[in-house]
Amino acid sequence: MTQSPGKPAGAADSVLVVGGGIAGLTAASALADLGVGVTLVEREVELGGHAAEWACMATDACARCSACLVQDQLHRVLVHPKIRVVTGAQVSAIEGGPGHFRLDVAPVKGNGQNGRKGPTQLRLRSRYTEMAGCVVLATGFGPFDPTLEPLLGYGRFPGVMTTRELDRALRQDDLNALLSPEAGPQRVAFIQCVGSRDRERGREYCSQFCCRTTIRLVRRLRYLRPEIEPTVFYIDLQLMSKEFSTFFEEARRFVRFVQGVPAEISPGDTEGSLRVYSAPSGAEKTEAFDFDRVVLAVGMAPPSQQPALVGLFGLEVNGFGHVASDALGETSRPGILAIGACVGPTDIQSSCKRALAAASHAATLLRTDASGHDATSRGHHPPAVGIE
Amino acid sequence: MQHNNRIGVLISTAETESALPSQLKRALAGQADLTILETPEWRGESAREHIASLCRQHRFSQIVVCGPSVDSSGLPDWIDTGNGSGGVPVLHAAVREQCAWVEQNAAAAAEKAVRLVEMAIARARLEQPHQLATIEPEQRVAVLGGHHAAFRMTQALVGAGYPVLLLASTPPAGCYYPLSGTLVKEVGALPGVEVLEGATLTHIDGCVGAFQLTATTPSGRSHLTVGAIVVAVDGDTCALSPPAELADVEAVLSLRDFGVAVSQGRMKDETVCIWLDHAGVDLRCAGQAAMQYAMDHERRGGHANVLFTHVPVYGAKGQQVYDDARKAGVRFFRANGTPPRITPTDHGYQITLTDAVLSDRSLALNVDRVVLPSPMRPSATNSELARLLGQPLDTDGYLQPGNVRHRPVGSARRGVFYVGGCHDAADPDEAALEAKAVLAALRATLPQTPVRVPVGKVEIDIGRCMRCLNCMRKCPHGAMHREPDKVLGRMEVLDPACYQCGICTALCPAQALEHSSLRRAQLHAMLQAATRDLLGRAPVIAFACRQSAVPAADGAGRAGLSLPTDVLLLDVPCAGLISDNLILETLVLGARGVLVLGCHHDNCRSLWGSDMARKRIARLHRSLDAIDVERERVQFHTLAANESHRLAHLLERINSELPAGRIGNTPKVD
Repeated sequence: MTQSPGKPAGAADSVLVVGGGIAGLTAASALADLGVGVTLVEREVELGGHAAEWACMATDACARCSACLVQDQLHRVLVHPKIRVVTGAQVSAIEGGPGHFRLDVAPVKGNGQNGRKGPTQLRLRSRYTEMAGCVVLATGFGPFDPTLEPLLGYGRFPGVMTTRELDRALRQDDLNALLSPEAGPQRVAFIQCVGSRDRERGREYCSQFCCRTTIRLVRRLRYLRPEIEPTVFYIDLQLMSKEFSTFFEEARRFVRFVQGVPAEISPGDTEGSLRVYSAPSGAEKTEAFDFDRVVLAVGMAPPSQQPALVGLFGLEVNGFGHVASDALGETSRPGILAIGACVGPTDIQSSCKRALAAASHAATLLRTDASGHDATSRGHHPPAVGIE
Repeated sequence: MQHNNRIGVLISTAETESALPSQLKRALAGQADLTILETPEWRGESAREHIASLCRQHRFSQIVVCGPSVDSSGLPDWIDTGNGSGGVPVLHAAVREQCAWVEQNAAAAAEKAVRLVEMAIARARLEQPHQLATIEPEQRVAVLGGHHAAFRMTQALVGAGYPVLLLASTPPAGCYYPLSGTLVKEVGALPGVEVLEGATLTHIDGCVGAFQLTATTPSGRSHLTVGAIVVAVDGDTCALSPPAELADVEAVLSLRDFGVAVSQGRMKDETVCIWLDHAGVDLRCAGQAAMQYAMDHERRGGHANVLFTHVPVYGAKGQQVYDDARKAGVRFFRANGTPPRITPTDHGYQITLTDAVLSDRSLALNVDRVVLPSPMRPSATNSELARLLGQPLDTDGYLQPGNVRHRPVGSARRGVFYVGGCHDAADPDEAALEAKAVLAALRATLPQTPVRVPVGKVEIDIGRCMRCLNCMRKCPHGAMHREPDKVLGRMEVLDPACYQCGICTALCPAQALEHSSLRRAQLHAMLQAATRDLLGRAPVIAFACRQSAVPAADGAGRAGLSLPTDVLLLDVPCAGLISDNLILETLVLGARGVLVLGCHHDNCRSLWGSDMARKRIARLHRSLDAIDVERERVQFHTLAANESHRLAHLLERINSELPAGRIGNTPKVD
């Protein structure tokens, strides 16, 4: 992709969306549908973000994981005439304010992190300047690094894996790589809240998506390998979402649920087996459970580049390092909205909902700005009438 | 049409690293209606303008694009050349994704690519320019409901400049979040809002841009026209049903009454226990309201305990409210093991429980009152609304099935949206967010200025139509309409509502319906081109749904996965379009096998299109037995758009397992 060096791209009535994951894609296509010109800047060479790496969780029927929606949004973004996509690029400087942001967009060195091949014609070759009336940040999350919990044995015992690794194997239709079909019935433990709801690590928050991801994973595993015996260790099951109760009831028929997450994993008596120590609710003392595989439900954390990003954009963060924002995405800096997992853990459906809401809010901001009102005030929220 | 065609075949110069362009040119040489052009730019507005100018310059009637996948071509299905002659159809020969192995076997890739382009050209020759019409949709939006969601939606619409018709129903009693009674008046006073109080919808007709509603009000019947409908009827709360152990407890309060009492400062020194999940897991909104009111109570000098099985920390605010409540002094207890016991004391009640975390310790709480959330359930009006809208309910009784294609706030019927407790458990903040989300989708649904859109998406041969109404009953998008007030009223297609899934064309027993860009003649021509020997043997034809298998093939192309050489993907808008006849015709024309690749059950954009294909093929299998054709020659599989690897493995496996020859050619072994 080439830009003429002198003339900036974009315009005062356009929006720059940073991040091409599900939130950024949804916001970009919604803004374009609202008639707003959009430039979508993505670090990696391919759009889609983390959600594009997740596997379909369908059994005989769709499990509502929504990972397929990434493909729909990708298509919508790529064919929309009002959206310009720039990949392998990042914002390197920002100045100005609502209605007159001026951003430097620079190529990212290397091939990006996810190693996927992207449409090369979208890739940024040299630095350029972009004008925008409003900026939407959708820079996503970084998965929690399970080696920070050394007692759980990730990296030390080959049988310990993360939900992401299991997901990737399913996506590549290569479950055999993780669970050998010859080994007979396998006992698989799913450990929830790895790197979430952990006060000692300053991560006292729920990662929102893991409980349902795990239920979907056990259903899918059981569908592919009926001989698998799953156990789920949890703190509180967060299952409230549309139509999910039936999935849960179904899973309860073949999953052993144990309240209380294990503190430690060690090798078991037999070759390759793993012993999990847990103090389940109601039990007098710690019990030992033996498994063949352990799957760690790793939560969402702010990505490693988050501090640099919030520094660059001059944004406030909350106690956990997530970009501080309100329901409509407004951050501490007027004209900059933040959506998706960079403002806190979320799942695909909630991320889409908030992205749509933020898109219509951004369009309102641009309109208010263009009609000469003070776009920096927050007075354009509908009055919160109604609650006694 | 055929002799007037001028087809532009555009070959991407991105393909120049392969032998494709030269091979294609050689294969297509000498066909008078084809003009082969190489073009560099596929994306964005400049690509559209470039191709539109090519259309004007060469007076193209159809365009065939061969090169990058649909995803990266950035071209729509038709291009408006602006000369008033209609939209020029753009047909994609998905060369790149089906020939991803071009690096490994260039000769085979080129042969397959030529075949795919020939199929697209066969289709293009019978493709007529898209008829365009100018539409000017009605801007007024109907909002149904009388509680938080409806008012938030109305406020949001007014803020965005839409006129609103608010069909105000009675608010549900006992909602965790009470509303002030004057709100209907406040909202009614907003500019551009017309309120119809006590209105009951009795009929919904028409489609997006021009819905006709019939409503009965205390003053009679009204007929109203709106551009879109937002259902924002909140859930109902049932009467409080205390469990047996609380039968004798007098001091039981509902969560709502507790919230009101706290806000009015009536409970200052009391100690309460809010008992969540007493009748199964409570909804998120109940849990969050409980935590909120418990916190308010502590801050006003009271004492609050919360009993629960699962802390509802899920949701945008869940963790925040939980943390704040704990900081404010609210005590939480997990009562997962033995059920808590409650006994009266001199001053109130004592609750004895075993906390799940403090495992061996029994706790006794002395409280003045017990607070229970009244169970919430989907509104009783949901089923009637679903019937009027022609849309299904979900398995829990909420409007909007769990099908992710139309969530978070949309439906399979264009211009119909759901907000708040009618489609999921939602609190007022969630409803406000959803109202904004509706606005994002609404502008494209109801353009403010007149726009040119394709019409005549499905053609009806009125002479053949028997008025069986199969199409009308089975159209998931509410696009089939019968002339009202007549016994033999004519059927018509409401173009703005139509997704062109083609389900109706396969269902029509009289073959009176024709998909205007996938005519029977077009399918026949494509299949004729496709079923000739490819690389020395009969190919397998895979009818691939554009919502799932086609994007999965795109993804396979991007990931560099090989799809088998002699399986040809033919993209269709929905698996439900594939009729028994078409499958048999494909076999007779010479395919080695026929695959129908649809979406997973409950993931079909057209709701039941994929299921129809599944049933149709199960039925067809019995007919195949009767004529001695192996069942495995016709297969149905479901896929999601992100299952590229599974698609590649599936096609590989089927291709190797299918009988080698065409039907009738396989020698029978006894």
